[in-house]
Amino acid sequence: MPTLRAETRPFDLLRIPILGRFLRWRHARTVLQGGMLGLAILLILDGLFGPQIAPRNLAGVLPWVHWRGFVVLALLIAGNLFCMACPFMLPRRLAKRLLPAGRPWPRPLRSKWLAVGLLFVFFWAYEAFSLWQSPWLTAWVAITYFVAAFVIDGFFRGASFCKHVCPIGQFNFMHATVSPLEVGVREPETCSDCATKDCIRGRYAGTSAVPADRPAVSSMGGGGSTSASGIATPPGPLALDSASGTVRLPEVAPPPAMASPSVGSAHDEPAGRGRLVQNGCELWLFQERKVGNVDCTFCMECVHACPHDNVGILARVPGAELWRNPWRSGVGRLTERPDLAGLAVLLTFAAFVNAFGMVRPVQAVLQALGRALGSPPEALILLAFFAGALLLLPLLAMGATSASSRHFSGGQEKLTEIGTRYAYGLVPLGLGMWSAHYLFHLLLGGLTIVPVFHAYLEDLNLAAPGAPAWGMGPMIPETWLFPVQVLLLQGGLAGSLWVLLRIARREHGDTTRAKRAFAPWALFVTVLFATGIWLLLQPMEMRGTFMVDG
Amino acid sequence: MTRRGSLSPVPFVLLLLLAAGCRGDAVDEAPDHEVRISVAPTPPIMGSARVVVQLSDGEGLAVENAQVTLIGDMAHPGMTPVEEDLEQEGGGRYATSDFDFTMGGDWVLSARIQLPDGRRVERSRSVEVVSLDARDPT
Ligand code: SF4
Ligand code: SF4
Ligand SMILES: [Cu+2]
Repeated sequence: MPTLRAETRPFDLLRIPILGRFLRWRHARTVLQGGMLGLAILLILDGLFGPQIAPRNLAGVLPWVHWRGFVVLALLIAGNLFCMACPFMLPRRLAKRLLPAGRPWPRPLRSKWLAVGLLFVFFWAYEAFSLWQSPWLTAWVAITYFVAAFVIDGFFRGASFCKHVCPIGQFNFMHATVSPLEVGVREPETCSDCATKDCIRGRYAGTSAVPADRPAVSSMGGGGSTSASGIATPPGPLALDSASGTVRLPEVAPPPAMASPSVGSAHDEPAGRGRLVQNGCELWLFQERKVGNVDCTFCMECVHACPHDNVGILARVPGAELWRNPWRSGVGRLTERPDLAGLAVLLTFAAFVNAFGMVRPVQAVLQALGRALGSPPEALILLAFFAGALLLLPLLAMGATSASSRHFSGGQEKLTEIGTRYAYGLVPLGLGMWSAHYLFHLLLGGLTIVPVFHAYLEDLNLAAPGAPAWGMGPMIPETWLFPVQVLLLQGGLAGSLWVLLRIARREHGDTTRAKRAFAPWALFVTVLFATGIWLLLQPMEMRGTFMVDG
Repeated sequence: MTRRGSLSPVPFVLLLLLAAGCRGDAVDEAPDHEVRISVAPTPPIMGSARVVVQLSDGEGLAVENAQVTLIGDMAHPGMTPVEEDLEQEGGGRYATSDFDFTMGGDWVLSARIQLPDGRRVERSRSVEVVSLDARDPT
């Protein structure tokens, strides 16, 4: 089995003294989520009822300065910690109890295309409605999120919302490929000897092992089958529905001829199993065959479920999973997932477009576009702009680069095939740009939360005496911001170049052909990188910028 | 779904809702008064600017001896606001000559006023501040 981890594993987050103990505690996630839920409630209340000046409202500052900044910071230094503490998943527990929650997620939607669409809509809406500037709308976005997670997971099995819908989750899943930590198996041998596979199946009351009359592991043939719990498994690890162009994803099905536990979603309670006391992975990632961070919410269910204490949060080579191409439980092969590749491309371009929205030249571009279109309403101009910048431009750029890569390396493949292979190489640069932008806001305005929160308490007559210290803001000297941003972007470029080169070598061996296939992609990310540097050098006219001294 | 202790957030939510009450927007205890905020130069450029608040009552007469504080917030969250007490110039005018627009971009200027009779008024307007041409790396 291919593995992304080093032979010796010196670091396991769950084994470090205090934090590790906390994370292993079964209520750790609930506690984290509870804290986040509290913040989310404050955000919603202040957004709906508080002052509608974003810098003075918790719904302006908490999400757009702190949350975004900490999300990318966590991805850079650890992993998908936001999903771990996700507040949207807390009320959803209630939904699982109150609503039927048993349906399988509709087949045509079993891909990332829906989420790609939602992300596109979000990026457009963010500009069209100036969400960062409207605490009231921000509060409604949060409310919508809670309702959507509640309803979807209330009707569909497992973590359907996380896996197939949640735009935030897809952002995290994709960029966590660059994170230094992953939830994974400590000793592979322990897994091969394991009879119960609780990490995916869940644990049931009164059964520390599987009842004797029910074999825990059944082999699935290659013909496609429907497991007891009703998840239809396609014949292969991945089946492309050529008629509709949608990808059929196996939920837990490993490649044909590989033994797998006969599992459904963990909240199924088939007769004879008893009461479920511990979920297995609700994202349908089977530890033994799980590779990397794609689709993993760091929810720790597998950690609690494993009776052999064999799941940890392990250090690994950041980004290596982007160039390795094993079959992944619950995901399939990256090279057979055009939807995931599309997600990678969209997110990378969005990183640049989102930052472009903050600098002065964007106004000139939008004005020119508006004139060309006969001055329609601004929302429509923005829609045209986003269609160009997030759909058309990426398609053209990916197409042209794939074509030249094929040309130089003398290949015969389809362009989509090549694009799907190399798209993952963009992810490190994308994360570099996202962090350069979001850490800029966090580092520049992180401390403004102190007076904003103070004023909030003051208005409720709960504050300690003294006036809010409105002068608080930057967390580091402002002259450091630009170097930090450049460093992040450079790190992203270096990462992308390395991943792309490894992908080329994977496809062509360590040959001249590999270098030729790699060259156009190297040019692609270098141009994106240069665009990023240019963006960072612009005065941020639209909303907030550097204080230029001198 | 795991059957752990029931973790209903409902009581918590209700508590916060009670606590929140209404954090209304700006106070306005004299809605008949007129407050005009003007900035020079127009549009203002990053750096210092002259800002004048012209205050008149319901009959259109200038109001003297009010206390006027001007607050500048950027439209984008996470930016430090600028606050300054304005000087009375007579004729209902209150002004400062060096209001410091620290960054280019969209600003919201709010005049927080205490009238001579103690009533409070707050009015805002938005201003677009032009930034310097390029980032100066010094
Ligand atoms: S994927 Fe799930 S856990 Fe992650 S942010 Fe979305 S709802 Fe929350
Ligand atoms: S249960 Fe699944 S989603 Fe949760 S941490 Fe384990 S592998 Fe990740
Ligand atoms: Cu920004």
